[in-house]
Amino acid sequence: MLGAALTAAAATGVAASAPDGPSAAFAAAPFAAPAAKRPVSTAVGVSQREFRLTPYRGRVPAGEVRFYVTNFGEDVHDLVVRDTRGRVIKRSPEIRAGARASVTVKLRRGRYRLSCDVADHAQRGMRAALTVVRP
Amino acid sequence: MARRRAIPGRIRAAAPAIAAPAATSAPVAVASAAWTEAHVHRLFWRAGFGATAAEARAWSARGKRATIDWIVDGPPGGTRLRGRAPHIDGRKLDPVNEWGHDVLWWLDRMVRSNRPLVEKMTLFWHDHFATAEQDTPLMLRQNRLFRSHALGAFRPLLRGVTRDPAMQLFLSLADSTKDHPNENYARELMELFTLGKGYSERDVREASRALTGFRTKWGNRGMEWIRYVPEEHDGGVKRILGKRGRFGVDDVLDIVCDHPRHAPFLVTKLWQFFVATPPSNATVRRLAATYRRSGLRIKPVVRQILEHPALYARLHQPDMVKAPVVFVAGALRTSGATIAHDYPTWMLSTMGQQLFYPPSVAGWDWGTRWMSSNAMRQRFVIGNYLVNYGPARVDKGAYKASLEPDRAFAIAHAAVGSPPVSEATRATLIRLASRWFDDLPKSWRDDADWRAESLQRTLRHLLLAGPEAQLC
Amino acid sequence: MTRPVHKGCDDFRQTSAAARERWLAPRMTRRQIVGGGLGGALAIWAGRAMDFGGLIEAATADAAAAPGNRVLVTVFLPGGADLLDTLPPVGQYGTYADLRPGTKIGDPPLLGGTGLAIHPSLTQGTGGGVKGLYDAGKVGFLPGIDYANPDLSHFHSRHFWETGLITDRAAPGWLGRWLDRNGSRENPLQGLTLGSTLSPVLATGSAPVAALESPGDVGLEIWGVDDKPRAHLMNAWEELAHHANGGVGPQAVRNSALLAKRVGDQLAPYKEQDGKDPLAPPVAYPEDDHFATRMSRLAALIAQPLGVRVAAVQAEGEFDTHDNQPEDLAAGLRSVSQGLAAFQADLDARGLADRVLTLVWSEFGRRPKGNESAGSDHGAGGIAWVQGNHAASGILTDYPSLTSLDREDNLRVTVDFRKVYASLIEGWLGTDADEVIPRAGAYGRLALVR
Repeated sequence: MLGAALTAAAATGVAASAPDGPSAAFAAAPFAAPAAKRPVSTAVGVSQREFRLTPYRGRVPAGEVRFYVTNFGEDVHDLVVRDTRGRVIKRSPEIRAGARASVTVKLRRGRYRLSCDVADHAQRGMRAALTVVRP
Repeated sequence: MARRRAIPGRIRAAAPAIAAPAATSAPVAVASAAWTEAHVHRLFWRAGFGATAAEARAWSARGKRATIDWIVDGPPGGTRLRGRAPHIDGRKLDPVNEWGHDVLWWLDRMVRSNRPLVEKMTLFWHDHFATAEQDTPLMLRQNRLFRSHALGAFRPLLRGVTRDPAMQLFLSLADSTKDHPNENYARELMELFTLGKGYSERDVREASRALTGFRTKWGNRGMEWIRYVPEEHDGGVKRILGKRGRFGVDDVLDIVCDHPRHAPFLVTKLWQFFVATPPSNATVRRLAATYRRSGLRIKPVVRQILEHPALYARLHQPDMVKAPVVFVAGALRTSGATIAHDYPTWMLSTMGQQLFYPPSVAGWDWGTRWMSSNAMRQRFVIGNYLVNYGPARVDKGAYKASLEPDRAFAIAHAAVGSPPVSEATRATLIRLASRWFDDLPKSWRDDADWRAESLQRTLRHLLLAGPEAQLC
Repeated sequence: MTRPVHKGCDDFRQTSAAARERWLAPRMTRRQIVGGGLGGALAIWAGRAMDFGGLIEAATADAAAAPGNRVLVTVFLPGGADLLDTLPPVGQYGTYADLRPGTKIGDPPLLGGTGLAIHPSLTQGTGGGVKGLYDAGKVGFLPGIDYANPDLSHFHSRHFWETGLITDRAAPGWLGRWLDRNGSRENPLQGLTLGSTLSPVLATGSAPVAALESPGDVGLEIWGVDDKPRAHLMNAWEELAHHANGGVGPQAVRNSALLAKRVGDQLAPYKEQDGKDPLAPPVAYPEDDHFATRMSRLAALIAQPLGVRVAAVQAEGEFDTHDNQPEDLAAGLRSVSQGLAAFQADLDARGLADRVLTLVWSEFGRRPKGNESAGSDHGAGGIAWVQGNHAASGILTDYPSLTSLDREDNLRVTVDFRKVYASLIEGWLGTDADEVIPRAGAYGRLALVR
């Protein structure tokens, strides 16, 4: 369906973590997870549109960071995580218009930059900062 | 009309019966003829997300007035979520960041809130002022706005919505300036939010001029603010709906709110949210009068609708198709389940209603249009979830094949929270139970407990997700 | 002169979400949704209240009434597929190479005697892929296809192509309008989208249409119920459905419940069981490719007596190649070539190839001058092709000049897509094009069918 609202609605959930759709995830996943102590893992929602990149959280505890990216725009975007020296720590695949992608990365304390590296999107404003602090 | 404030003492007397259903050991002897458990079930489904068996028992004894007081005004002590907060994979919900947790977070409020009508009206406003495709923090902020005005006055709600960032971005009111006015918001304001019809393209254009002046600022963390900048506002004279003046933002909102078409438009939409049959002209006039007399307050109108006999028509043949979110939240709430998995988020989208993602600015299509073979199938499929992972769970080895069919039915019915069931459905399910072991030789049956399990699973599934469960 | 990288996308940003909605997901369509759950099963849209109880019967009757009916399949390459790298103009190779230093195809397979070559990916697949079909006389390319003064927004241009109208108004799709005039009033499977939601090409004003992702996703299952009691369960389900009485709400529930069962029953023969897939194709399709799977299911469903007349499928590739074009275009075209070649071989093996014609299209072309990111930006004059045993073969339209560009430095459009639509409606579907494409006479006709 053309309307991006509908595309987004269709993509949401189904396109999320299990490519086979809900029933596959349903069958595979346990419903009652044990309440045991877990390693630190933090979700960071990220939205993308032309030409803005918005993390919903600017500060996360060190450990596993799961970026959940939604491309609300019309163009293809990606998400690249860099350290302060500009080294690429993680790069997502390209995310189509209306689609979602998740990127998981282990981060130590420090400052990181997020950007979309497609074409000149970063210069046009698709960049943001993330601070990783002691858990 | 006389608005009935809850008398605290009376409410407190009723409250323990709600909080501790097990304590009501003695069944209510005689429910008043005019107010039965069936009435309570009907009211709770329409005004919220269903009643538990204990609620139906307790409130049928309290009578209509007390029940509606509780629904509309809420219990003393304010809003509270009952029971345990959900955990997914051992972690608390993170509605802002985790995919689908926004939906679960709201669904959980529908399941656990002691103000179901507030959640139901929040859903009404989410549909009425449908917004989508905006950043999750902004959508959640808008959700809080709807909740805080859920039963309040329309005018301040409309002012809030008009300044709401998600709405402003969705309908391009943000950065609509005197040099580049954008008509989107002005058009939907009249067509979808307040009037329905009775305005011209010129009214839309002129109103869009009056609504100019909001600017946004973006920073590293998304939108920093939306601000009204007087220099960007078109201060000229406008003609809107027969009025002339140097109108500003709130002037336009007042003009549409005071327009004769507004009250009938909004009260009709409210009626349709609660009642499956259309209102008579006289009912619309009465509701509109209540609405105007109260200063455009929602609560008295909703109360009047909830008191109306039409809401209780055909008590034993429910005629309203549950919206997907009402069906799912209601099944969880009435069977005593909590949210333990993100599966409901996905299922809701396959049923055609994903919260925070209405299909367009016109919201969802309600009523019979929820239904399709596909949607019905998805509503059936979620039964597998409800019957395998909640209080309705079927335990291994707990049921005997030798159980009489009506006893097997009774066990299943109690396990799913004793929802109201028609005689016809009860008879069908008992007959199903009586045939369940047909193909097994008689000598096997005593050992066929595995087959008794699948019978329990099936009966519970059909009670929770069968055709009758789609209606309220 | 440098140009902004995303011209079309910039244009588009000025259209708000709501305006887009108003244009592109018309309320009319919304009103038509009898039930469009977003799940993977069968979804049906219709312009009026219908009793779908006899869905399969209607489909079977529809098919029986005209068993040899021709089928038109449309395949959409989303994003605006590039003409230059898809059919490199080797006759103007120097100019081409100058325009496309970052993306040009080095030594592409030639299309003999045309001055054109073909992207190597289009040789992938059964029998040499799309090029193999071209060599066998089963593909006719339509370079330079578009419309005058093209709008370079994806959404606007798609809307025009989908509706066959240059309009900012909501409208049914061009094949949806064809169904409204010429289709069945009862059989939703006549207009079939392979996917989870209706293709706007097939959105109708009144005729029923359907979207199907996978026949395996229909049916009512309760875990852990054996076959014998399952039969009792299904009987009980029908009884329970009939208990829903009184008013339109219960009626809708009853009908949907009965239909859910019936659709499940009737599609059950097409569903994978015990590891056997009755829709399994007689030929090999690429594995793990959504597009190929959908084409395979489509061929299988056309082979069933279900009355499929028009169908829509979307390719999986990324054709909006603003950067990384060499890899992305190669991957996208490979999937298309493999899927379409297998589809054609499948139709052959099933004895259907004389009944099916496929149109491959994209919403616009790309700017002849490549950009700095090894990509190309939205432009005019794209690529489409017709494919099938009865498709006219060869290069059917003039290839745009690389030296004489339009005022925007875009390729000059050499054929209006509505000329292609009108020609297919008359030449293949055999009805009057004026009924579907306004002023169809003005576009003239192309011989697309032989």
